[in-house]
Amino acid sequence: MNTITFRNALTDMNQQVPVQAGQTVRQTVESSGFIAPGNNFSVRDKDGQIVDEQPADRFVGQMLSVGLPGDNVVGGGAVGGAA
Amino acid sequence: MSAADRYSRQRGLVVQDLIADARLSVYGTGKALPYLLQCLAALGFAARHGRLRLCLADREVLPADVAHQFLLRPEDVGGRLGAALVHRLSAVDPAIAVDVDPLPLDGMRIATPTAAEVAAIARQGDVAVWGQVLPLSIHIGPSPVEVPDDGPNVLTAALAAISGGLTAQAVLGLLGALVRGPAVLSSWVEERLWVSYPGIGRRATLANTDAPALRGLLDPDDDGFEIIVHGRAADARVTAIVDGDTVVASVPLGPEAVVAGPGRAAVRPVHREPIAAPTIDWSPLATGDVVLPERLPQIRLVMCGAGALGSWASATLAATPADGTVELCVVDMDDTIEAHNLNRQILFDLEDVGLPKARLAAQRLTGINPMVGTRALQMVIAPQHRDALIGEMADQDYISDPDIAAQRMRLKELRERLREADAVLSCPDNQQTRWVLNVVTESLGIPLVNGAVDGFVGRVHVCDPRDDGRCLICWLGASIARQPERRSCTDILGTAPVPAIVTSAAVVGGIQTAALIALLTGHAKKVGRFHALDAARGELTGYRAADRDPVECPTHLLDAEEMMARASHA
Repeated sequence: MNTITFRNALTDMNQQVPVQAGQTVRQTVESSGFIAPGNNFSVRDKDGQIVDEQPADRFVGQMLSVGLPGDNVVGGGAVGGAA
Repeated sequence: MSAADRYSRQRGLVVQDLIADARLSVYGTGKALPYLLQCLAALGFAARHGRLRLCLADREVLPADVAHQFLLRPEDVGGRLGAALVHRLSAVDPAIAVDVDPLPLDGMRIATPTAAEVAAIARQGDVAVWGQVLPLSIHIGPSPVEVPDDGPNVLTAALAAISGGLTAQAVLGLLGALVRGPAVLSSWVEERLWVSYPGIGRRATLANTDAPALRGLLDPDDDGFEIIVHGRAADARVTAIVDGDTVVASVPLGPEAVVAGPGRAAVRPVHREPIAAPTIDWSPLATGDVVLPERLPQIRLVMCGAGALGSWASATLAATPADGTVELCVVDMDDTIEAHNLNRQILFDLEDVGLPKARLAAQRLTGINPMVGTRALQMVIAPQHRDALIGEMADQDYISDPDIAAQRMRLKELRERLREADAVLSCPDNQQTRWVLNVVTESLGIPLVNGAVDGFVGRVHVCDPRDDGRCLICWLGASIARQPERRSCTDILGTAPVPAIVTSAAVVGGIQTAALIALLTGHAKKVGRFHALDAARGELTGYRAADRDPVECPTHLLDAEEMMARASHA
């Protein structure tokens, strides 16, 4: 069976979820019950890229991290940029 | 400086005229009061037709009033409390209309009480939001909590900043001042052009004026360069400096395109209906059974970024009483303070515009607390500095370029400061710098307390390798090594300024300091490792979160080599 392992970014709870044909990653999480209905979430791959709306079958066999939306917050002060 | 400059970074988040015309009465003299007032002044509260009233008993300023905060100064002790607060607030924003009277205004009433003041204020009724500082936590809500007064401790200043920021945010919601949907960020329709030209950014900085004319920044030899609109030379103005050699020039498209401005009706963005104050109870600690000292021990820190988060995090740290010296190395790349920094960067005021930022921040922190020993380093932290910061740095006999020689000296000093540091406060405006700091702190085995804020959303990650806490790459993914994009005062997002507001900065900067203090006073096993703010929704939640994955995380440092190679090719 083709599965994705979802990991809750806040609790480290894992769950292996079967992938249904044509589902996005978000739909797979929702239908699995991994996140309580009505809760906002966002899914990242190991590289940190948000993959919510990508086809789930693209991530078969991988572990994806399920966390809060908006985790790509960047701003703050000024120490970066091209040297 | 115009009000438009000062509030330009919050224009997409709040309806400025509602804030400027609001009438608000504040009860209580709790620890959150000075922080609340600083946030309101920075927002532009009561700066037009509105009024802010401090409903205080007219008493003397006591030494306890000037402790754990940085609005009142030690020299205010013995003077009248109301007058001192009005005087200090006027320095934050001279336009604020503020007075002192025990009787409230008509309009909204809020309270930042001490434990002893809660019952008396509650009897007066009609308090829309309470902002309280408890020994280990904060409470915000339409109803107060009654707790005994245990006196201040080492967390009090940071908790007070968080409480003040959240209370000011609740006021924005109660006013219906939160923008929903698109907002006009400029008072005139314009074309924005990125202009690259050797030295143009440095010349624009030296011009020391708002929006200098583009033509005046070019060499006379390049006089033939013109921007033509409708057949005529346009009055292009530099409105943002990207770096020393790049600026953003704004070109007006003509009066027929004006949608708002002098003599025209202002365009008010679509905004939310007033919303009741949320109830928020938050602590930096995942479990509350700890005993904290009243004062900080001797500590050594490096803080990267002296912008919105850095100024709040370092100021609340400086406002915390200390038994020993707090040595703080402040690293920031920006040259000077700009008018549009003032809506949130609380260490600076009107008179500071044009002055060097890192150096002035260091001076201000020592002014808040002489026990804070500061060192300012104006420099960039980029992936190519990683090896120098974690490895050996060979002496070089002679470097002919004085700029490169100076940069190398600063890098060397930063390397030494990091080796001596107990922890690093990460407050930059880009992920690539965070990645470098994560590699360095993981290599040195010291905690990294990272903050980030965009508009009303904020995050704090507490990464302590000694506590098996996740590193920043565990949280955010390896791709942060390849994300140099900055989101800060000097940058723009598409064609609009990056939105930024004081309430989020006070909360996130305060959380960073609270978590850092909890770590450095021996409570790493109980500190919340991840904190998420969604201020527009009235949500602030802390999580202990799981330990790092012992299989995965050690590879993050090994991956650093590959990440740096990929980043250099990105």
